[in-house]
Amino acid sequence: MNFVKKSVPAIIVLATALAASPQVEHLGVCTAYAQEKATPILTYEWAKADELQKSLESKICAQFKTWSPSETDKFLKSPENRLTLARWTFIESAGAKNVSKFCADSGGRKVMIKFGEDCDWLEGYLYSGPTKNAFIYMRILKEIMRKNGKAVLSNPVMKRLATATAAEYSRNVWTKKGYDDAVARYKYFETSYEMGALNPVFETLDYNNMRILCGWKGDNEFGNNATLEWSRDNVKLTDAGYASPTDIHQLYYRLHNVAGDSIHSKDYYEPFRKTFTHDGQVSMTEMSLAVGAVCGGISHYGVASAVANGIPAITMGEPGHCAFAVLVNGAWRDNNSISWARGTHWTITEEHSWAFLNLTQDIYSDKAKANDAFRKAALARLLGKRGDVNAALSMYAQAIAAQPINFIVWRRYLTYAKTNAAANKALWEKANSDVVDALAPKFPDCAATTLMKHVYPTLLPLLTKDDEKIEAFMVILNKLDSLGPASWEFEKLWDFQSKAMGENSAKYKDAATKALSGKKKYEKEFNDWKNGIERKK
Amino acid sequence: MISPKTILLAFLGIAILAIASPQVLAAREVKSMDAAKKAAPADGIVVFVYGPNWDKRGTELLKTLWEAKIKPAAGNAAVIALPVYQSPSEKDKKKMEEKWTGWRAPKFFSYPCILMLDDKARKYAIIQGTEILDDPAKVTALFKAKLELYRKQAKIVSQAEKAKGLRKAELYGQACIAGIDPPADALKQIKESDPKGETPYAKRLEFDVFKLMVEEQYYDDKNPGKKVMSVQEALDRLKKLTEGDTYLPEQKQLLYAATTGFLRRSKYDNDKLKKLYEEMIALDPDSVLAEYAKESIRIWCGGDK
Repeated sequence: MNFVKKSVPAIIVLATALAASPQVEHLGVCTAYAQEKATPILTYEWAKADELQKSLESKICAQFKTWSPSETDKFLKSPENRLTLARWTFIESAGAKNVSKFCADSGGRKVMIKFGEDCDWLEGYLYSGPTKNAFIYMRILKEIMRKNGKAVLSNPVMKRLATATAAEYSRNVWTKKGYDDAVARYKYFETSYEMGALNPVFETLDYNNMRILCGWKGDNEFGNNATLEWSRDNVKLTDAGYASPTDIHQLYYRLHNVAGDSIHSKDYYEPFRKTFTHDGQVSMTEMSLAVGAVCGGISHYGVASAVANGIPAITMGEPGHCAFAVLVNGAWRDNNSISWARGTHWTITEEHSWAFLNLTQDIYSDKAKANDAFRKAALARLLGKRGDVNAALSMYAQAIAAQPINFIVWRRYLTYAKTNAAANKALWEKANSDVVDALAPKFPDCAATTLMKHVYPTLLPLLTKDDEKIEAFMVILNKLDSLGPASWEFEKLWDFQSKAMGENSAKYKDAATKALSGKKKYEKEFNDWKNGIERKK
Repeated sequence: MISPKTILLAFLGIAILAIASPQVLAAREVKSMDAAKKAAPADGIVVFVYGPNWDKRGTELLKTLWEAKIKPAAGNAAVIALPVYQSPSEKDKKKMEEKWTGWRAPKFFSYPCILMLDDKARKYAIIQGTEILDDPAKVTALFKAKLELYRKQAKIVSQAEKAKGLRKAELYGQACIAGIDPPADALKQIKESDPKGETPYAKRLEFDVFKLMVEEQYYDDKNPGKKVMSVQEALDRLKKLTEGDTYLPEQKQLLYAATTGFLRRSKYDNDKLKKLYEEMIALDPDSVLAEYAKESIRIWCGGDK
């Protein structure tokens, strides 16, 4: 109580500052406001989450007349409105029944009250990646907070850490041993952070990158605490060091170990495991250093060591090879790579290509725009649930306008439109050109993938004439210029488009030849593709 | 009453003692690696590499370990702390350039670390990772032990330089002390002084279990039709390579590991295989490879039955 009394002047100053500075307010700095001024939701209300959700929905809808962009922006300027929207979205994601069930015991209610009153926290979870299995997320969060609640509530870094760990372990259902592994992963980082043993990059990670860090190999021995602890203490480098072959390539490349056993058999490491077991877990990095490894082990060694020190990193598959990537100064850098044809082994966005990894980083690097887009997409979801299709589609358009490169929002929009406006030819033609305008200049791979997965399947049946189809296909081909972050599998796009033309694929090839003529990065490759010459990966 | 003359004599005495015994002297702090190399100190060069703006533990160790413990224990070495910045500013880059100039660091695996270099700035030992994060008293003891080994090695090398023939080879062999790197040109010197290979030292330095055993057993990329070694040939080869004292115990263990692996895959008799694993353990019961052999018995030879 004393703290609250003493804090009142500070809160007034903060609230005044927020009111005076809508720009700052709009960036999402609503935690203090939400905690002190937002309408509290009482324990019993969370326990009746279906009723609560309806009341939140009414509260939101009462502030709109036409759902116009100006209304939306006005609505989202208010921290309390953003909190209301986040609360609604969370119940929608977790399921009202699950939320009620979770709040049936006092431990669950305590966590729900804290989580549900903190806008930054709610949004941090909801907008940093998929919320699949949100009800398991809450259970893991509760388990983490049972022993570490004080740290989670008092330190924003620990809050992001707990959220990210619970989000990724729940999404991937890494719960074979209950929630112990998730709690252990959280504890590893918390302890290491307190020891001052992590790279300072760790405390700057946003929710999304924290999820990449905490979610790497949660179900793999390279992600166990014995491996992380050994790597933290024995492979400590600068962030750029993990991206430098000179620094991080520390293992002997050995296809056969000293006993002649192949890396492809379990005998390669089996007799060594006991030596490198600590507290029942094998330190995989330590063992690899002693025994040897090939590309897979070398890349896992690099990633485990970076992750152990609080730096996001991820292993990637390449044809017959394993490489990895490390986040350095906000940009992904590849390492141990032999090919542009690479895909991350694991992803938050369900897209594995190198281009998507880089695009995701671009999206979250602009937190204000990303949050604006995700909030508007949440409003669209609410409208969709209410059955107001036109308003929902229009709100999705607002979300995309807020951040045109946000392919996650694009995906939600197109999925919704597929179910609710599949016959709207104008909408799909616009989507075709808008996706290209938004993504093709910097991320042509992502534009092509989005078109093939989410636009063409609905657009093409609406186009009855060959010329129409060709015109639709040329939208992206005309826009292609750079390759993006690396080369990509544009042949898949050409295959798709050509196949869609059926017997008239020659017509498509002629048009495409013209469209790609003079384009340095694509012209030769297209001609090779036409002639059946396979490109080297 | 002590006269000024007595005090002066006492100071002179201390000074003479200090000059005569390099170990009494404090290490000499140098400003750059270039200066360290020029100084060519008797106890070599000792470097502390750390990350001032990103490695909190390393930066703490700069004071609690490096300044407080290692520098005073560095004898007559030139000492220098070298910073490595993360995302360095221009100012940081300049600071690094000034100190690092004229030298390229040997490969090390982790920050912070103590690089122990000879007078020409060639590495002979590294203390890093869990070793350097250990209790400072233990780290200091380890550092002193390695410095002692280096002194011992330097003494043997100076004798070797004056010797000739097999004696020279022998001394260079003895200078290859476990715990620190061999002298820079040890192999060259041994081979020149012992062209017929009468001493075991060149073989020890050139030891490569993969070339000696593993590759011989399985494959030859340049000659795919080559006959794979038979079980008896493998056993004979093991016997020949492990008899006598040509190879060190840990090297012999590696030869056993290679041979037993081959025999196991060749469906060799389990009891005989177990016996070989036991011989392997006996060579150095506390080693990683002894543990490997014990586990191999458990996994492939029916445990300890």
